[in-house]
Amino acid sequence: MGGRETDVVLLDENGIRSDGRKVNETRKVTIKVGVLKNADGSAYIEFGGNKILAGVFGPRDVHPKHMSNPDTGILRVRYHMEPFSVSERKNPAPSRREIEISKVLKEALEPAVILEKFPRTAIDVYLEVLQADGGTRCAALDAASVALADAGIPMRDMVCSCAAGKAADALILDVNNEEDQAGQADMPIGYMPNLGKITLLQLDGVLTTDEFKKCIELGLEGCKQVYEIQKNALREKYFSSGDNN
Amino acid sequence: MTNLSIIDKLKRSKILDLLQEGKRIDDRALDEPRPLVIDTGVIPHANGSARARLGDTEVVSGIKVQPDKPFPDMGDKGIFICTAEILPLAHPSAETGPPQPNVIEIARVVDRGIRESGMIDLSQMVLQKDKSVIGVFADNVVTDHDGNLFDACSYAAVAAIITSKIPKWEMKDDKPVLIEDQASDTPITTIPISVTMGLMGEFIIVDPNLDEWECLDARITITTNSDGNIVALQKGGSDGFSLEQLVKCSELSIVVGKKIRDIIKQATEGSK
Amino acid sequence: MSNSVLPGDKIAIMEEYEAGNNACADGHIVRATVIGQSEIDKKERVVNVKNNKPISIPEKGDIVIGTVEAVMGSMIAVLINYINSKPVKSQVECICATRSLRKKNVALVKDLVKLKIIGHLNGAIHATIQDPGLGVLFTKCRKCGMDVKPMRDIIKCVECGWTDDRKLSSDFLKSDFLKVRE
Repeated sequence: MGGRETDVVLLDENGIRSDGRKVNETRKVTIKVGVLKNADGSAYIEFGGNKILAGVFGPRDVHPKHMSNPDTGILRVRYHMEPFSVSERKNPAPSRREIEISKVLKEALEPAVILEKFPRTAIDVYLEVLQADGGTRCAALDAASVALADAGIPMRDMVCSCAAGKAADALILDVNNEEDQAGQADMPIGYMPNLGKITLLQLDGVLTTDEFKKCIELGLEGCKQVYEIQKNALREKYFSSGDNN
Repeated sequence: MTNLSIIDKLKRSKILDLLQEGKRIDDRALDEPRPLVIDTGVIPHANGSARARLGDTEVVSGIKVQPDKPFPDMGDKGIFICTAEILPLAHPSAETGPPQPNVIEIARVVDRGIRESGMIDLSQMVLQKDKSVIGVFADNVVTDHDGNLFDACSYAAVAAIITSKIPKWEMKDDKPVLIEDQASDTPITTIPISVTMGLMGEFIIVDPNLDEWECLDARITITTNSDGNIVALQKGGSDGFSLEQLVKCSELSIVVGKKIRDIIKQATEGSK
Repeated sequence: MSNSVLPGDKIAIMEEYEAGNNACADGHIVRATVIGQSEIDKKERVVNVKNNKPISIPEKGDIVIGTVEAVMGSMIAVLINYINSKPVKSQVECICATRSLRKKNVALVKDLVKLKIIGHLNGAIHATIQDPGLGVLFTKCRKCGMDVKPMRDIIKCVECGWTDDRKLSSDFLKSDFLKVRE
């Protein structure tokens, strides 16, 4: 199965993609830590054309009360897109897509967050997509993990995320919006780099088992690159004032 | 003021004690708004956008322009719709779910100021009379809440509208068809500026921060246009104003509004 | 020896040091769980991480100021507003035993009280009020809801003259804990 019919050349004869990248190159990623005053932790990520704000509150009291668990804290994640974030104005009410992404992102973060230390409380992660450009769930997950660390929430590891996929019969790293629309496969991956665990994995499209293995390997390379950017952003906020030894 | 907690009451008396000495808790003069920073073009995919930071209150406004059906009795005018949302990351008390009355009020007050001033010349936004017009949607999202969301949303929306572009559509077979790369400036007739003032005891304070906001007796939002005329008003809160106080508020709204208008003009100049 | 660390960073191996505060074991590796400074305690053979951003849940020994939410026969439940003079928004509650005080009204609902955290037990945060500095900071008359003034260890309403008992703090009626824009 190929992608949809399109005029766009996803990969030229020199192996260069429609936005000028090589097949194994991510888009430009920048992360800023602690951008919000009220949130306990926050981060802003620009991942290519994606612009996403992450805010974390907690551990805090659970509302409604019946959701609380006497044995452990709970993690709640809301992924939400602003009406102006996509080309056609989006209804502000959460769509089925946003609810599903909220759930998979929660499950991608849960293995990392140490919740049992805070029984009867909730940690709330709010992810607001200001501008979407393909791969928002990966970028949102990257920002969420940084915001959780900024909030001082104990974590077994950071979670970093990047997609890999297939377009014009080539395996590519970090699928952009155009490649997602016209390409053959898109596979977002979330990864705990020190513990070596994959905590987010979805696939849209068709891959052979051999391609699947290579695609994961390629995606993990992207995750590791993003992990370095996450660490640099956190170090810049917490350790750049000369107390780093 | 009977439903305030002990901590809120202590806060209120601390704020009032300072006001007696002519001071505010953040060292501003009573008629002084917080510093306003406007960044435009923050959402390049939108037709216009701005981020307004008023003290520690921050709002992102994005403009979407798209063909729509006209309102039934206004077939010769484009449509303008303004919304507001306090994102849950903006404040620990912000909730997800359907908009609460206070947020709906913010959206409607911002909408009214822009609409009643005639800021956008909607008569230029008709594709086919009674059939198809251009709609301008201004969606405001609050990302950090430190009080006075009325003005922060209003400034973000106004700056976003000033910098917005209207794509070109042509009617073909009764349907609007987009003509690529033919966008033009949004027709702007005036720059409406809202100024919100709070009443506490007998004191009137401009642009209350959240600590002040939570213990106001009453508040008023007055929107003025570039000619210095009042175009919209909204009184809120559980006490009333005297006539003298209202006259003072109207004068403040013009003086403060002019300063804010200059900041917004300067911030949007380069991006037109 | 101390090092700047991020969550997931390797800070020691289990053969040498156990995981202490803000650290966790991953097989034979000890990793940091928060942003902060890792500190090796050679005597106790543990490695701890000092959190650069403390969270809004009180720990043993913390002094908290909070609002009484419920008064039961032998305890009160208090919503925490300040931890060690820092305002917090986590809205968590602690409980405080009052049976041994031998007072009819230790505190009333909506009173502001100062407590000391004893620890976490069975998913609840426990606190004590038994210290001269601890106790009620602000309260109202139980009969008419007006202000009260202290008379030795009881209180008297300034309006209706009703007298009542409370476990008063030595800081009763002092509002210097209040933080507004600081």
